[in-house]
Parts: sequence; C-alpha cells; structure tokens
Amino acid sequence: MASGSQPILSSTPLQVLFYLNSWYFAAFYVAEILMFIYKGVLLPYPSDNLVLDVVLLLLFLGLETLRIFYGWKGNLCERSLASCASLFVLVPCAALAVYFLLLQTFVLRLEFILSAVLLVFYGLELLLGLLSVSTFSRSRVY
Amino acid sequence: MSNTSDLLTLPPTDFDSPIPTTPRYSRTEEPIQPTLPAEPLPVSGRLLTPVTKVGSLCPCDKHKDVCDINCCCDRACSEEVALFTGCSVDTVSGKKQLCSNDVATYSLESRIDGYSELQSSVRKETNYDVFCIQSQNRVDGLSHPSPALPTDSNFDSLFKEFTSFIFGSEENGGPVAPAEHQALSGYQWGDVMVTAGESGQRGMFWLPAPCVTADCVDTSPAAFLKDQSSRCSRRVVLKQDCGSLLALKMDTYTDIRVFAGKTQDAALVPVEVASVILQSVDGTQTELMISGGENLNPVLLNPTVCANVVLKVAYVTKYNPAGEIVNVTVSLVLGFVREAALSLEQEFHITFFQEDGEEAAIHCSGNPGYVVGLPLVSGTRTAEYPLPAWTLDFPHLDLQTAQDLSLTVVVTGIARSVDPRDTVSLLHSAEDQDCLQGPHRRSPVLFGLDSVSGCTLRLKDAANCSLVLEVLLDALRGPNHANFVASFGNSPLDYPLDWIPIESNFNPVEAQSCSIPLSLHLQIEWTKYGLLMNPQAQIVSIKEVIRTNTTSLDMLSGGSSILSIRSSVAFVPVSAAALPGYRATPTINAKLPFDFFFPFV
Repeated sequence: MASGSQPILSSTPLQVLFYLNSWYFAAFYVAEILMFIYKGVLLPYPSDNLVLDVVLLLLFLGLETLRIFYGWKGNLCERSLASCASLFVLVPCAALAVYFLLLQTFVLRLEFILSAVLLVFYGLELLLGLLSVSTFSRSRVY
Repeated sequence: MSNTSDLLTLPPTDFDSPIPTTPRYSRTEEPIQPTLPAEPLPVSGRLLTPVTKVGSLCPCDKHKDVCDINCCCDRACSEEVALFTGCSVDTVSGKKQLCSNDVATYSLESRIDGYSELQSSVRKETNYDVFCIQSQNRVDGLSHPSPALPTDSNFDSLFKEFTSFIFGSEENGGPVAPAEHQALSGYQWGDVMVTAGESGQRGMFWLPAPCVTADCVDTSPAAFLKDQSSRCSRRVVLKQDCGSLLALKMDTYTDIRVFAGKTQDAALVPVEVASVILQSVDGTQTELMISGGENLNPVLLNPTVCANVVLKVAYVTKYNPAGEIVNVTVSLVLGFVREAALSLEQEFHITFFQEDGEEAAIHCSGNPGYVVGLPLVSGTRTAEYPLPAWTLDFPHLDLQTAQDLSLTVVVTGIARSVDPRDTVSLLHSAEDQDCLQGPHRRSPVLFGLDSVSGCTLRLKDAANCSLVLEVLLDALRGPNHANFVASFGNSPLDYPLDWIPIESNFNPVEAQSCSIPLSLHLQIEWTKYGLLMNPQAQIVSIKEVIRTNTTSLDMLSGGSSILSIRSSVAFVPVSAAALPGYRATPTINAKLPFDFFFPFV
C-alpha cells in the first residue's frame, strides 16, 4: 500500500488469531501445569501415565511455539513455505489438543473447556492459513 | 464418555467373594478382571473383583446372604423390608470428584396397612465444579492399580522386585557383607582372636572364666577389645593333678601364638612373658628374673603342697589402628596350693591397648558434665615439670603394665592417673572387714552415688599416737591421696581453673592430745550447669570432713583393741532454680551508605 506497486496479501484476521492464540496458549499452559500438580497430588496417578502426560505437555509447548512462529512470520512475510510448515505442525498440535481433551488419564472439566477453545483456534487458523497460503502462492505466479 | 464412568471404582467398594463364579446380581456388568496370564499360585489366593455400580453397592450390607436390619439396599431383604422403620443408608453415590456420577437413593414409604415399602431410584447427579473430573482413561479407574498376583510365570520377577530391599537377604546383603569382612585384615570389636597350634591348626584364644558356677570354664573365648577379668575356681586333687593338669601349668598360658589378623596369611604373634612373680606360701611376692631354662612346671613338693601353680594370668594386648595385634605380653603369678584348700582360685585378666595411643587411654567421666555412676576425676598438683609415669605413686596396678605403657600424662599443673578407678576412693567393704587387706582394694567414688563403707583395724600399739594417726589417715584416704577434683568430667589437665581443691578440716599439727581420725566424709556439692534442656553436672566444691575421737583410744576400742573406721560420700545438689533466659531482641543494624541521598541532602 505504501509503495502502491504490490497489494498486501497478509491476512489480518489470521494475524489477530496468531496474536490471541499465543497469549491464550501461554495461559493454557500455565493452567495445565497447575492442574497437573493438582491432579498429581489428589488423584491416583500411576507414575508412567503421569510421565507420559507431562512429556506430551512439554512436547506441546515446543510444537506450538514452532507453529505460531512459522505462521506468524509466514503470514507477515507472505511466505507460503513458512505458512505451509505452520499448517503441517498444526496436525500434531491438534492431535495433542485432542489428547488433552479426551485421551489423557484424567480430564478435568476446566481442561476440557480450555482444550476445546484451543481446538476452535486451530480450526479457524487452519481455514485462514489455507486461504492465505493459496493467496501467497497465487501471487507468486506473476 | 458416559461409558467411561461405569468403569469407575466407587469409594465404598463392595467386594464379591470369588467363590461363586457368577456375580450375585446378574445385572452387574462384566467385572474388570485383571488379565491373569496363568492361574495364581495356590497360597497366594485370589483378588476380589470390585463391584463398581452404584445400584449394586451397599455399604450397610454387613452379612452376606442375610438381611441386615434397616439396610434398604440389601438385596437379601426383599421380605423383611416391610418391617423396616427407616433406612440406615439412604443415598449411595459414586466418586464425588467426577463431574457426573450416579446416585442411588433409597427411601421407605408407609403403606396403608402399616408396613413399609421400599422406593429406590438411581439418577445422575451433575457436579458443577470446574475442577471435577470430566473423564478418565484408566483401566483401574480412580482406584489404585490392583497388585499382580504371583503365578508360575511372573513369580521370579515379582520376587526380584520385592525382595531386593530386604535387609540381609541373599540377593543384596548376603554376599556383600562377608566380602567386606574379608577385606579387613584386622580384628573388629568382639571378634574372637585366632591362635595357631603346634601343628598349625587354628584355634581360639581362650581365657578361662566362670560360667554358671564358680568353676573355671577353660573354653571361654576372649573377645578382641573387650577387657575382661575373671576369677574362677578349680577343684584339684593334688596327687593326680599337680603335674598333669594343664590349667595349672604356666606353659598353657604362655605357649600361644596369635594371628595378628583374621586373614589366613596374617603374621603370627607369639605371647611374650613380661614377668613371673612367685608368691610364697604366706603371700609375699617376689619377682622372678626370667633367665630361661628354669623349670617352672608345677611340682609336687610333698603330698600336700604343689608348687609353681598358676594363680593369676594377666594378658596385655597391644593393637594398631588397623585392628591387628602387635604384641601380647603375659604376666603370671605362680604360687603354692595346699591340699587343705578346698579349691584353687585363679584370676585371669586381659586388657587391650592401642599402640602409641596414650590419648585414647585417658578416660573421661562425662562430656562435659559428670555422668552419674562414673568415677570422679581427680589429680594432684605437681611441680611444673614432666614426670615419667611410673615414678608417680601408683596403686599396685597389674604388675608391669604401668611401666610398659607410660601411663600418666603430666602437664603443668595437674597430674592424674589414666586408670579411671584410680581416683578419690572409699574403703572397700569386704566380708572380712579388714582395713589392711590391701591398700589397693578400694572402691572409687562414683558421681551421684552416696555410699558408706567401713572396716576394722586391730591396734596393737595404741600408745604410739603419731603412727596410729598416719596409718588411719592412710587407710581412710587411700594410698595415693589426690587433692584436686575436676569440676567437669572432661576437664583438661592443662587448665588448672577447672580443678577444685579438696578442702580438708583436718590439721594434724594442731592435734595436741592424741586425736586420731575415725571417719572420713566427703561432701561434694554439685550443680546443674548450662541449658535446662541438657543440664551438665558440675562439681562446685568438695569438702573432706574427718572426724576424730573425743575419748581416749582405750575407751574407743572397748579394751578389745579393735577399731572400726568409716568412710562415706554424699553428693549435695546445690543447683539454683532455673531462670528463663531471653535472647536479646534483634536490632536492625542497617546503615545507609553515606551518600545515599546524595543529590538532595
């Protein structure tokens, strides 16, 4: 817009989503840690189950950081490759969210709600990400 | 998700007996059977299968197949329920932590004819807590996992898992501990010392001791580092035993070779004869110069007297810090045995000393305060030069040990004997009550224990007043009269302020007429020192009260010339009442730097 030569292809809604998602995930993560402490103290966790859940939680942090970073940069820089990477990482992230929603050893209601909201984020980001990737790659043709 | 809650084990879990293979209620869902790979071993029994459904749970069902009164959920009460007056348990609910759980309610309704009718319902209750458990994905639900039952196949792994931490089990401690023992070459406290016989066979170091009766048991082992002294008697028939009984022979106690350590290749330490003392028939002792070649074996002098019989054996064993025996010396007393004596009494001693370890030989009577029952620590003020130990006045300590071990440590100020029993002492009360029985037969003053003892003296020459006075004073005070007592059980010798002089009221010079001491009383005042939680006994003062006669000597003895003297000790606590002490309240000692408010002030 500044130069007028090229239109800005980056998606504003996607960027807003990434921004909100990053803050939401941070809050989600802190809440998860506290809830795991709560569950570990109160509930009869077998140690291997607890280890599995905690390891997956740690993995979740890494994948989510990677996803938001690539999606963020890819959207701002209009790079379809980075956006594709972000969408690719979305799959294991969604799987982990589903794990914490349904499959982990004990699911608290709060976890259920938080994971469900996270999945809503993922769904919207998937849609918008696919749209922006297609926009970026179409603009490359010229 | 709703199915998963069915798997939950509920808190008041009811257990079906395993014997009827079909559950009591056919409606009960398939029980969660722990997958068993094989039949459990016969002794291990079986685990009960948990009943998890709220509708079939009944916490008040105490008797199986018998109706419990007023237990509305008891299935055996189908007929008796009409007579119930109330429900002891009216709701059975599942785990409260779940977001939705089943609750079974039971209530009674009166029919028109006066009998009761049971109304029961199972409904779902929803928990609105945000931290409730929405779902869970464990086989065992909220209960702890059921333990694995031992079967043929998993027995070994279970055994390994659960026996690894048992103390002294074969797996863990068994082979390790002996290996450590083997690694140590020296003896440890209480170990039996190993001797080598003539032909190299290994034996034990014996020290005869009385067992149940006073008779000597020859095969009583001496333990390493355990000082022992024993006195036992033997019945001897002189004609047969004088030359033949091994226990009477000196060689039995001297021809011993001891292994320095426990290992097979340890060096052999022969027992050295330090001294041999001959005791005459009337009890006088003379030391025999050992020149070798003398025959000291028991000899039957005439049919009623056997000479050179071992009466007393004292071993002194030196060891090094590694627990190896460095040398063993033996001192013997040989004497005569008469036919008239009923039995022969023998004494055996063994003491252990660490090589060049004089420090360890000094005994304390407390740290720091005195401990009740331990002897007082006493000493004498000496001139400020060191003395060889054996030049000091010693009681007739075991033969030569005093010289061998350079016993006393003398520093500036106070000198004390290392023998803890060589301290302020009282007369020893013996059955014959003879004061002249031997000056070394005295009982030490033990802290905190009041005691009285006495003995009798036969005075032949009562006229010689000064001699009588000296004899009596010696008998009362003991041979080595200490004049200082340590205020604490561990007072150092080089700190004279910790030593309290023994005040005496007796002044022999002022005695004009013949006043002789008849009793000695020690009054020891002590106080508790230090914290109330852990008070330490400290001696504050010690007073020697010697009471002399008031009448003439002939009157005292009543003409029989037998005089009884008495010694006593009393411990007087003089502790002041404890005062609460407050620590000083902490003061804030924060100083601001000089230029803290620099630009402004």
